[in-house]
Amino acid sequence: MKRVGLILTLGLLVFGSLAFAQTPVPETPGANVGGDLVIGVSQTFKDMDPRIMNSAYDAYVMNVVYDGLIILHPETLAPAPWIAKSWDILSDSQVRFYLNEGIKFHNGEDLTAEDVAFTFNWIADEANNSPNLTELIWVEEVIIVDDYTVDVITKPEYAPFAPGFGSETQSIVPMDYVLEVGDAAFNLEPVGSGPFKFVEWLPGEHIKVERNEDYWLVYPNLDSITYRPIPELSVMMLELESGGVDIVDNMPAADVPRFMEMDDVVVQQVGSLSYFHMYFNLQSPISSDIRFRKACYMSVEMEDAVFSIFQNLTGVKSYGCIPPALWANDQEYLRDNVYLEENDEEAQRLFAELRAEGILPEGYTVRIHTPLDPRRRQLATIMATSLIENGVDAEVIPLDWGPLLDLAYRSESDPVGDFEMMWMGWSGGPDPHDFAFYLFHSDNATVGSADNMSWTQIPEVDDLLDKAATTLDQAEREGYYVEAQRLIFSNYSAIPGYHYVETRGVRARVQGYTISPLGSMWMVTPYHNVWVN
Amino acid sequence: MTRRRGQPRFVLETRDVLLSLLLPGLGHLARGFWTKALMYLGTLTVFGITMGMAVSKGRLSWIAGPSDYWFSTVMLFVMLMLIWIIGIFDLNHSVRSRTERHYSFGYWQMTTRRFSKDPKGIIGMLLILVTVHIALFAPFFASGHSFKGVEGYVKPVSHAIHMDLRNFRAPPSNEHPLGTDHLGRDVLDRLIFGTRIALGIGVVATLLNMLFGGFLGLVGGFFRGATDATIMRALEIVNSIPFLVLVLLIRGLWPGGGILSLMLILGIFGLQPARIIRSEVLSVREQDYVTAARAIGVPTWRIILKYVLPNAIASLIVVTTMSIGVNIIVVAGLSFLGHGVPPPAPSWGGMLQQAQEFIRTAWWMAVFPGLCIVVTVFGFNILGDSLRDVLDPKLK
Amino acid sequence: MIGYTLRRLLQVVFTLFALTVLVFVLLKLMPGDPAVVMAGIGAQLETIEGIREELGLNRPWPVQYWRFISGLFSGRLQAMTYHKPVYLVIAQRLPATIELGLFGLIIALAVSIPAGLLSAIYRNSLLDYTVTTVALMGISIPVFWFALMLMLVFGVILGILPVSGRGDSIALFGWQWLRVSFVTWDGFRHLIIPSVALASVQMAMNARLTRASMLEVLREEYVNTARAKGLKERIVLIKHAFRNALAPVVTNVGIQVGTLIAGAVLTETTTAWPGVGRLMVEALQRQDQAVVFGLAIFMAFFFQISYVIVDLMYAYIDPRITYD
Repeated sequence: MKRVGLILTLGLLVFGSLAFAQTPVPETPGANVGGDLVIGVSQTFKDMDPRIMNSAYDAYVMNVVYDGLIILHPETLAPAPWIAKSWDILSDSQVRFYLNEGIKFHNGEDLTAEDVAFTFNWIADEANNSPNLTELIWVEEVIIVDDYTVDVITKPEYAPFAPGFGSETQSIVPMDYVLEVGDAAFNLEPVGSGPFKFVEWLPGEHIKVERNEDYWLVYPNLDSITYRPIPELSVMMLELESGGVDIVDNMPAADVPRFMEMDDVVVQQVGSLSYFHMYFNLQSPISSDIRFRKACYMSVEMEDAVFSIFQNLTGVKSYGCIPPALWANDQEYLRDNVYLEENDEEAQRLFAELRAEGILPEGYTVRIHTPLDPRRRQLATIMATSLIENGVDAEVIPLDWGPLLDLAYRSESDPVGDFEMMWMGWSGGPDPHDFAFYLFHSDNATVGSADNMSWTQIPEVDDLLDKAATTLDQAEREGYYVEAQRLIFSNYSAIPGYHYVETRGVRARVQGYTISPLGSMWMVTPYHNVWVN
Repeated sequence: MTRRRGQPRFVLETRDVLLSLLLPGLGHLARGFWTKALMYLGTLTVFGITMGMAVSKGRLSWIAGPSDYWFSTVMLFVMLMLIWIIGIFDLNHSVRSRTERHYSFGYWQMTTRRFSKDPKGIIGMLLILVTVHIALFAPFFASGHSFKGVEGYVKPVSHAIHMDLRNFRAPPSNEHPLGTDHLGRDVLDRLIFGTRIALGIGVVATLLNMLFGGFLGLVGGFFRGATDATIMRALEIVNSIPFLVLVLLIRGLWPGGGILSLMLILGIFGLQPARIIRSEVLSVREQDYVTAARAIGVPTWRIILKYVLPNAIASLIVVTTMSIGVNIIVVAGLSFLGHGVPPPAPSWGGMLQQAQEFIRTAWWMAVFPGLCIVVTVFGFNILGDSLRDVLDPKLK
Repeated sequence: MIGYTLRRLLQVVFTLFALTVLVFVLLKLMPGDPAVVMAGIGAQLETIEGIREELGLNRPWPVQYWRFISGLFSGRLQAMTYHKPVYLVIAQRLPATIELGLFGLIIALAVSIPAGLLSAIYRNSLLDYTVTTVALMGISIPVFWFALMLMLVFGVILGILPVSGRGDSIALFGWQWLRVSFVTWDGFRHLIIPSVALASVQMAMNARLTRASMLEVLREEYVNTARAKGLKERIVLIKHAFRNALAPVVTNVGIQVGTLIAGAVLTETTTAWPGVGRLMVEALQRQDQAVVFGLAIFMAFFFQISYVIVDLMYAYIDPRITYD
């Protein structure tokens, strides 16, 4: 399965006042100490260095080997203390973090302000080409105040964004160790301060971690955890059924009811902060005509399409780009006023009109690109079939990530994307900005592999999004986002598809595990300490 | 189909005629001129009726589909033609044997006789003929509710089977004999049209294999020396990467390419026949009669056509038959890795791959495409196996 | 003989060289830029450029080719996404594939040789037809499908075998990359389903081959002579026929050892087996040109070498064959 790499980008969730003065300790009444856990993972692991990690699957291991500076509360998603026990907002561009003392890395070194500053400054340094640079683009510098205090200075055009520090990619790495062994070696044998120590990585086979006996926060219940990549989803389901793995990170909709009925498996679900849609390339002469886009939209009953694939179990229909879990999603208005129901006559009429005007060439085959991910492939198939039935020949072109990005890539010499329609996904942090801004603001329609792949450029939308990004009052921001979304989607530059519902199958013997809307695989944190019966 | 003692001739012939109504080309297995003639007449009638019904139902679009389909349909026609040609030869032969009554059996006559006695070959032939028939008359076999199109637009029906999005994963019923898939498409209809894709790719790719590989093997084996060395090195280079990996690498150049590109890639790079033909040619070349022919100055092309090719043809036929099956399996493997025939084309491998995640929830989606692949490939394999026994008289 | 060996090796070197060029050009012509993939969507142009620079992707092709080829020999060629030298990436995955391949081969031979022999001896009997049918079915089933069925039946429904993956393994000589799993009970159990799936195809081919070769031998003069001498049929079959019939089968096995690495692509992907076949699929997905390059060359090398050995063995066994 291909998923847009973890793009937990800067949300506008500003560091608010602090309810805790201490890092909370997880309470697990009746917990057993001991036991091993096996976790099935949909993809092979790539990186173990959080600073350059950009796959949601690698993040599972980061979750237990490293600690974050802060953690996003599993339910409210508000920033909460972890390594930092508290923080102060000194000014609009400066936040001061006070770290817990006595935290040790697995190699025995102390975790100090030095390590925190090193981690963030390394990512924010353009010379290091970290794929996570965009997440810390707002950081000017991290300054060491004393051994257990750091100051984060933000760039003048940004406000300090809390979720930026809550992601796995901002886990704290041991400076001395990294400098000693080098980046490449560190990536293969990670050392963190987390509840579990890295034991071995047998490529393609598994990654194994064992309990960190000296974990500073709490004594981890589990003896060890094994992460097994299982590329075939169907095989992973068989493993879950037979008890070969305890937790699976994904589950097809068809299997959900089946596992729900089983006594020894619990299905955990939570709406994730993600959005999948089909872009039109507004630079293409055909797709730039709004009639074509509407005609395509009207060829399919998208609600039925999404239901047939997800049955409202592992995905829900989206009407705008902001997930229903967030404020300003405006789903109802968009459904009633912008969503187009299937209307084959109207679609055929529009296609005929376009043909008559010569915009849609006779015998033209519409290509719908999609990643190999089965869900988006299925949606693309539905779209193609519907177009064919309305007299427009269409084909689906499923591609690996490389060739797919190649089509959407705009170079300086040839700033036109080489595609007509493309199914894409996006996942963001808990703020509407992450969705509306990146996907539809003309600032992101830039040369390179742009986030705004459709090349949507509407000045009014840009204005609204800019205003929303610089305002602190949520009610006011909500108004801007609602209006911007209405403008974007009545332009039909994208057909909204679905919001993924994070679904995990957990064997009943696993206790204390909760699914995270951010896609994390938390085992031991200030809020969790998983154990097995 | 051979006549069994103790049963009235009339019964046997009626049975054969009835059978031939189902399957074209079975005629040459029957005995006697009139039986044969009747069988071919019957087949012709079925062909005509099927065509007529297809035309009258406005389902002739299978002739005017997109180029990929056009290509594969033409190739299937070629195959049908071959069956007819065999039939004409059969009739001719039975006329001759009636009039001349001479029984000096040549190699091919022996072979045909042996073949018609080999149950394996008959089974293989039957399976293949059924598949070919289904492929050719797919629009006729398919149910009516699978197509929905625009008036006046010749729709490539074979591409897109209509989706009933509210009736997904319906178990087998009267309306959908093999159930519907995850998008509410009729599984049976998809399988029927998938026959064209499977056979189309299998047959075309194999024919290309024979053309390229056979040519290289022939040339290399006959001329030897530098030509041979060059060809063999080139073959070795291509052959030393596993075929599936090679296909994946080359397919990467046109990612997401359709049926035509699959045919070409499999056709051009599946060079297995070259080796076999070459070794065959090498052994023929050393025969005394070839040396003699060369000595008296018979031109090379004549030697190849007259002496070398006929001797190599036996193994060529066997390899061809078997590699159709191999190609179908390779395409299924590619589909499994996500690089097969792109949707919405109803390819069997693709259906199998899509069905995987429903293996515990909608068994019909997985079982039937799997069966189709197994049965078809088995048909080609068992036919090839039988042909090998038959064509290689040493083993008798 | 030595001359022939040398010439043969020279050919191998030439073939491999030509192959490096072919694979390199294919990789470079493929759409998709590794740097763009690594940088992720929305990456800044400078980041992409930086990664290109780092990987040497903006150099002219001959320079890149030289980097690849010289790096491959000196072991300095770094994988693009695996953070280790290419040879190490391959070495870590290789033992699993060899183990799987050998087990598959053993199962295939253990079943196919007796089956082939019996079906030749009892020719045209029910047994013969059954063996033929089953063998031909074996080649006709898509291997990934067969593996899935095995997992479903033995792993889930009967619950007697682990579904997928590789079990406990032991590092030999303390080398972390050289791990064998069949020596442990857990590892052995994990090995069964994938190797049976992998064996299905070879089983079928070997059974057919054994049968054909046995039939041929049975028609030979010396078998008739032996029978005429009044030897017991069992002795004729075992002493005279069987040993001679085995020769072509064994040669064929030599060739199969070379292809075993390749045959594993589908089986390994289905059963989550951590071998080089799956590595190939994975590296192609990740656009890791260095690993794809190295792996393709390695597979070809392995194949070629096993071919040469078979060739030489052939010449050694059968003195009638001369190479000149």
